[in-house]
Amino acid sequence: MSFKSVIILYKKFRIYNIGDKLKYSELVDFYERIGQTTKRLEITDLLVGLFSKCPSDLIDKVVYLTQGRIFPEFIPLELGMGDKMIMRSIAQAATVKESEVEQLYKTTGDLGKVANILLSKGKKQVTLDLFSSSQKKEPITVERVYRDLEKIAKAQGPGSQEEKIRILSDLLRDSSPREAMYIVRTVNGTLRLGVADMTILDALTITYVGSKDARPIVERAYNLRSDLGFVAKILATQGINALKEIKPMPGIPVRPMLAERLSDPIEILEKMNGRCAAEYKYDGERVQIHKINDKEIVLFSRRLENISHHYPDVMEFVSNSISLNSYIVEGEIIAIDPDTNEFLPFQELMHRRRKYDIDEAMKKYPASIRLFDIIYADGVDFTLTPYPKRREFLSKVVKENDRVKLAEQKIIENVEDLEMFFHEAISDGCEGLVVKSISSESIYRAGARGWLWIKYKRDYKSEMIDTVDLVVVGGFMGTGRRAGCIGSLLLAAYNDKNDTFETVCKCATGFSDEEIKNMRNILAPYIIPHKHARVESKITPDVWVLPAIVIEVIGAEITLSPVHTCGLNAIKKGTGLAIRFPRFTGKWRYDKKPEDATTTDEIIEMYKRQLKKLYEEVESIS
Amino acid sequence: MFKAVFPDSKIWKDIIESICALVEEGVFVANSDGIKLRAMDPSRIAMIDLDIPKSAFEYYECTKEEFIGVNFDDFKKIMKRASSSDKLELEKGENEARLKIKFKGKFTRTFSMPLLDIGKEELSIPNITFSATVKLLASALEDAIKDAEVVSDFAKISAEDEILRISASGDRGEVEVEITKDSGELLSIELKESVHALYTLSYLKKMMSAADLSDVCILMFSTDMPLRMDFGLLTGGKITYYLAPRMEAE
Repeated sequence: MSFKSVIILYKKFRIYNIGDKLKYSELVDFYERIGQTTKRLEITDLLVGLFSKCPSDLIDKVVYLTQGRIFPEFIPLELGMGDKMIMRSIAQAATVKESEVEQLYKTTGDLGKVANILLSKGKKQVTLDLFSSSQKKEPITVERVYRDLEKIAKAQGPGSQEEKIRILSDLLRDSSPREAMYIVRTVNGTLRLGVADMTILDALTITYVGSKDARPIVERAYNLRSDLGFVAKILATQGINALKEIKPMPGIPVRPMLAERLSDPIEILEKMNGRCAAEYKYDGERVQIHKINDKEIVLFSRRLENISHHYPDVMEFVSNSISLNSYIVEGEIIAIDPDTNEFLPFQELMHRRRKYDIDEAMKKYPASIRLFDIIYADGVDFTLTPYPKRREFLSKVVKENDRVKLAEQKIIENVEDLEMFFHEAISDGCEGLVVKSISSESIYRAGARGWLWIKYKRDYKSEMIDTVDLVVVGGFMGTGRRAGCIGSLLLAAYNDKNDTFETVCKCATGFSDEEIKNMRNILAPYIIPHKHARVESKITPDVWVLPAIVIEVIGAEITLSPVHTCGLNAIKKGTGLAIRFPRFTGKWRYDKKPEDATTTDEIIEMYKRQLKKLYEEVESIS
Repeated sequence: MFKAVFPDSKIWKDIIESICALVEEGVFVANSDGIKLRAMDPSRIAMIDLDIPKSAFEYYECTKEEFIGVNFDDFKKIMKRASSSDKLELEKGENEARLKIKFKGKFTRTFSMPLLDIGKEELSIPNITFSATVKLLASALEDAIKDAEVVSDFAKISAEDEILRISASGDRGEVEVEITKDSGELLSIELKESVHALYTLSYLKKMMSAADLSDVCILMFSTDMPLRMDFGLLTGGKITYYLAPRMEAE
């Protein structure tokens, strides 16, 4: 069936009225038919059929239920009923023992089926209402189901478990076995109809507009509000013109713009027509920060979950550094070692995901943010503004400090610069670069993955398996708890051909508090006022140290680095090798002379030997 | 102003317990005739209808209709403190949101319980003509229910000729209990036709908590219809329960 004939067919059926009721069994009919097809066009037809029957004031609820949810995903309300509670509700509705429900669940593995079987089995307990003259038993409506599920979600605090069970068992008792099956699946999140958001948008457009031309407007509204129910409701009650006016709204997450991925700098620059902005791709958690009317601040994850409670510190310092009343900005939250100012791996931020001990995690793994985009500011929608203008505006309204900064950025016009900047990012602990278009078309394309942004990540990774013995050639002053102490060391490998010491990393972790306190005393006999003649270094530490002390270090991997001199030009012209995320193992190798340290050649060999092709990383995190 | 003195607080305790078995909260309606309460259990499967006339009280005064919303669990806890020889005095001032509960025995103890502001749902009792009316000893029914519980969650109650039969079957086996006039447990039976219906045992059991108040109960039922169970109070007044049956699912 063509798109047009579908439209004509369904327009005939549009007989809904406000206040009309939609029987839940009609929704169930639809669920059953959806289950029998995987073809997108057929699914669209079925959706149009359903929407056409739906009273317009109910359309948002029908859309949510079709997605197997009650609220849009960014509303942090859950039904909060585990399998155990659902089983108790089924037991009560069917007036059977819980053990019987449990037994059946073990054999079927589907609580929906369990409800279906137990409620159809033999004689079912009915209510007294059936026999009172005033109330006749009516088939349950979508409204009733939605209202009850909403009540379940909102029941909180002491006694709420019992309340939830009571509401669900009443609902199940009033429904037919077939309806009960789908209600239970909705409650335990196993409805999984497999209806894509985009298919729902197609069906909404057909039902309420009829013309395919309107599809981009509908999709844009969805991308700006991340809420299919909202889009459906506006379309059904106010029409397409009202939808055109939709702007981002602080408090409601915008579906984030996504980047394509390439690992060849030449190809990347070609895609960008030779000129682009390159930004550090931090190994952190991408976040959208909303400020609502100079009051509330809300943080949304890349998956649109409200993650405010993980980052009270981020909310506070962002709020203090942006001089706007209402805004939506984007950035990457990163963990920085307060003692060394170095980026910590992303995993450290995951401590924030735990429900408890946020305070402790805040102290141990303080977060910082690197902002990179602005979507909305005091009534102005920035999504259609080219990227350079957005970034410029952002730099004007953000007052940078230690914790809040704009993402490290460079305007790039040739491949060499892009590569250098890339290796710089890697050795600074980043994942790579995000290369962004700076053309006049470089708008914020909410919800879309496209070539306006390209992730530049590595193809290969050289994992470090063995420890290395490195020579201390310099020291840096610490910050935070390590203020006043030498907090990190500049370490070098030995080049036995040139008899020089070539720097390979800055190491700050693995030292005990005691060792940090005494570091200056330990180094004192060797501190010299200038770089030692046999040390090759592009970095200038706070103190230079005579090559004498050898320590054992392990790192995550060996990477190319433009800032270190170890193995310079050996792999690639202009770049050396560095150890990423180095950690002192605790062994001071006083038994070794600096000339006994791991050699440059050995490190080059390790890099080559352990180089592995990277698999496409799962996209769920960054 | 409402004030009532009940001669035996122990009876009042049993009354509260028999309400408590089914409902958590409810509203006593007191007027010049006496006290009434009608409440449905949260699942709307069973109902209690309580009627205690003025005459059941030693002293009774109610100047205007009072709605006394109560959490029965709390009320029960207070009533547990009663000694068997205590007299009970209930008192509520006009526009007061508390009920005073006095135990008068060797000495006087006064509890004051906050009242609940519960919207009162107008409940009507099921409108049914019963085909069977059976009067029997409450203890006999209680035993039969316990027997049925051994094998199932629900029981079939049937009446035919001069016999009341309670039977159940399940994975664990079958049981049949016959209550007849011969043993003296069945006091009277009136049938328009032979009848049978299924009822959930857990509810029947809850309703039997009123057996403490009366040795005799009256069962009324019809095929696939709700069951009515009456317990008369010694002091006058009665407790009536209604229980919806189990029926074939559609």
